[in-house]
Amino acid sequence: MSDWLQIMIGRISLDYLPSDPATIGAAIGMPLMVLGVVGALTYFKKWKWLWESWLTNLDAKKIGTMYIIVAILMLVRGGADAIMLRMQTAVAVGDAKGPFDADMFQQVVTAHGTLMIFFVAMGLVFGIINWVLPLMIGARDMAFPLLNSISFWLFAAGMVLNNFSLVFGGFSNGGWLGYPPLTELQYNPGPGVDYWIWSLQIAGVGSLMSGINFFVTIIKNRAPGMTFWKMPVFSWSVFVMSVLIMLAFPILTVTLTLLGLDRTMGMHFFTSDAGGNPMLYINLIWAWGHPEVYILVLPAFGIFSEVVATYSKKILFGYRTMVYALLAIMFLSFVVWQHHFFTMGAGANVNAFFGIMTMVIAIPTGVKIFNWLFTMYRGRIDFKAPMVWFLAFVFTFTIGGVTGVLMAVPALDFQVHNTMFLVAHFHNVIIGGVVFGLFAGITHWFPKIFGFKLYDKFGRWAATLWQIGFILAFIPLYILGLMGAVRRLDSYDDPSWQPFFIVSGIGVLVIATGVAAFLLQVGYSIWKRKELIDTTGDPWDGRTLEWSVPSPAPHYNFAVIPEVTERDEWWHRKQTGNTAYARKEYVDIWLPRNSAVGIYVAIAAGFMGFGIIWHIWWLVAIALLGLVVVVIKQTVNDDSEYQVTANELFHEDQKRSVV
Amino acid sequence: MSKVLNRSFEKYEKAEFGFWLYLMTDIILFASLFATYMILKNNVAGGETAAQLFDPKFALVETIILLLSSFTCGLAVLLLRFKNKAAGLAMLVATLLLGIAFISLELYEFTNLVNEGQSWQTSAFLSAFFTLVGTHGIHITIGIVWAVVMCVYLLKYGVTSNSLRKMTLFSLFWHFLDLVWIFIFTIVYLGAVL
Amino acid sequence: MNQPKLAPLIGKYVVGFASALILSTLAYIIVVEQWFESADTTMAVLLLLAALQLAIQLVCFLHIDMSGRSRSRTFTIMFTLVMMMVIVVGSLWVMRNLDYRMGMSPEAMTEYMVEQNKKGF
Repeated sequence: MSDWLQIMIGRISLDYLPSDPATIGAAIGMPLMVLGVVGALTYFKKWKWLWESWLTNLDAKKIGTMYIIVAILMLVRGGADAIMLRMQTAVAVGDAKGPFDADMFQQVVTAHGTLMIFFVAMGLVFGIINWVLPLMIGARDMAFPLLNSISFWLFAAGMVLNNFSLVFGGFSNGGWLGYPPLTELQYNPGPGVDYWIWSLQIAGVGSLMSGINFFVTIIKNRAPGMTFWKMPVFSWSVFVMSVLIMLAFPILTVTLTLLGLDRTMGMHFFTSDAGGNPMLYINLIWAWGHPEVYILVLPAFGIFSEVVATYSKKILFGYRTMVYALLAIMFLSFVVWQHHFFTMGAGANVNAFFGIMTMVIAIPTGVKIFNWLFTMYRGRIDFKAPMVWFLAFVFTFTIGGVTGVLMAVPALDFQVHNTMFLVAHFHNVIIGGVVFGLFAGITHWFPKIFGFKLYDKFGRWAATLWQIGFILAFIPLYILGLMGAVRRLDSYDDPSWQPFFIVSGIGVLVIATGVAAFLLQVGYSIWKRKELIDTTGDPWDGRTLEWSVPSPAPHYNFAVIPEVTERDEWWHRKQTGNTAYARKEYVDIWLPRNSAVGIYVAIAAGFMGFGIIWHIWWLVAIALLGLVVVVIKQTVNDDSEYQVTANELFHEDQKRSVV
Repeated sequence: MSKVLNRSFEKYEKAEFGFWLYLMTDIILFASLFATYMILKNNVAGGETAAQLFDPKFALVETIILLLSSFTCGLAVLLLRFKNKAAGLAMLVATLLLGIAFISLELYEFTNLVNEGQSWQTSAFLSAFFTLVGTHGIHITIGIVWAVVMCVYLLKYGVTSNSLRKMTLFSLFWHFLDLVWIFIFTIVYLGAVL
Repeated sequence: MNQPKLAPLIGKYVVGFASALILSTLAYIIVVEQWFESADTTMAVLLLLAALQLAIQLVCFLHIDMSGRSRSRTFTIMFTLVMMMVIVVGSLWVMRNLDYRMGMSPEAMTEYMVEQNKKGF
């Protein structure tokens, strides 16, 4: 009997229910929230609307919004993790015990990093790209709308798996990159690391598909006349990002698989016996990991290129050098990865090569910052929230950048590797670059997607609070690192470190108010949306094509695909008074039908992952079979589009007011 | 720039380009597995080495079978393009049968190794071998399933622009796998006895 | 309308198939008959033959050339192969270096470090 049971439920057992108050709280709270949402949907009879308007909708703008909602939810969870970490370090000095034990602390550290990189940053980046890219290049949608949906749902499946670990089984304690041999079976036999592997693997496949999708979109879906050199810089940044994704993510897929094989099939890639080589893992994961950080930051740079030009009412300075800088970063980001493990023991030649390359990559980045500042020079600057985010970026990211160049010197890195100095550096560039850029982008393009602006004052508050919070939370960490404090430390002996950890703890709370200010901004704006309405479709006197369509943008984006003749085509059209279309320019168009394939694929992938984690092999087999059936069914489905006639488009356009 | 685009041609172009890009990502995937194999090749943990375990002659047979299947695949696409459904279908069936032969040989080799106690659990070298060659085998298996689906599709819908597009994508996939095998043959099997 | 002919197109595939067969068999013979003394030379020759076969198959089976539509595909695969070499060669270099320096016995390590110290490292 128990043999049968083993086969049915794998290694599931009641032992894996959470046992400490924080996790129990989360494990009860989260399902309650989900039930709350389900209940509300049922009570208000909104299931059909949700299914048709959102979940199975292939419109990139809808998919983008869903990405952003998931990402913001994960921001709250990852931020809560951060608060927990700083609560611990503020008190756990000497004999004093923090609220969390060592294993719990490491799980929180791991969850914080994993969520922030894979689900918050990637989610916000993909969300904004989905919102903006097709509109900006004069297209109706991505090149492969169904693939786009599948990408989102795989992302969501990864997120669900990750969150489910909180309820049952616990998460990995191996850090956001899961270094072996700690994450091997010998030291970590439980399900935590497996949750980590499979939630990332599933989300990673989604990301890879998006990289291909965005790249083909840029190559094939641009409006007629929009040559590469007339494309907005944000589109260029997505282009480069997509190349990075296509080249880097397969390495992640392989590395996670190899670790998974070690753990599930007893292989020996990275074990400490039978010839395994843990250093190989570190080499491979960082060959992915370094391009990954550029994948995150380049779209943020692209956002700033659009934001700075728009709110300075001036053409972007140095378009060509901006593009060349992006292309340079594209190549260079693949020859620096070893700087993440200078101290692992390679010789001086190897370290020197990668150190020099790392310093070189700072150059194109610096060029970009100067170009943005030159754009501002003699512009008529409108200090809306996106500009405030930009100014916060310049200050914050520059500090982070220079500490990066500092650590590019291997000899110096030996002193600060894996200390709080490193932690301060990467938060510095990620928060300064990625987070500030994404908030600027959300604020800037919100009216295009929803038809009303975000209330600007709260946005400026959010940026200010984030800036102050960042300084308080992370500058002390630089000092701590130089004093010898290592990372991921759940307690320490030296009482002179404590004041710095306390200041950092206060900083995290200030950042939390920054997040709250943003949520307040969104909530208040929804409440006051009638006053904040965007009637013209062009609230910021924008420069690029997305501002030429009404707000909120119609599901077909452009009733008439524009012929492009200039960079900043929309600005040019406004100057020459050429902003409307003749009736004859409207033609019949084809749009993608809704499809639930993305959801089915994600469900299959999710159950496969769950089955592998818990060793429920029949579940894996069935899920795999389901996946195969869904895929085959879809490949023979030739009826995936519906037509919208020119008449319908013309009348839609007449109904809305456009400048 | 032409304003009126043939929808099915546009769909074909995009699908082919997108699939080509997927193959590029697969190159990186296999490259990572190759790098892993080359790095772990000598980590035999006191057990048997590649020279002792691998038979280049057997691999040459596998190579010839796969090359032949790549050839028949190319013929299949050509014949279908020239609207010769029967001959094209026959070549497609030949391709998938050769693929099945290839996989059978590979499974035979794997089974023998495991029975001799040389499994993927024995050493890092063997883990790397089984994973690299096994991943290729999984791709081939997916290709075989795809070929079966293609046969059914062709029988049901005949030679249309849709089925030609799908055949082209399949042939890209199949040729690509043959290319990867050339490197497996060279680096793993021939490299073993050097 | 210029109708393409079937025969020359099949011819391309036949050439590709025949060359691939010859190259693969040649590689096999080189190894089994030990045409070269050093293993490194042999491997270099084998990789060259494989690269040649890759090129021939790309042109004959995958129709990669410099013509219009195919040009972007050619560029894409060249770019991918270059970046792939960077990742693979880079990894091999780094790992060889690490395995050598970190894989020594304690006694050999001490000796090595003394030697390096004399050189100023």
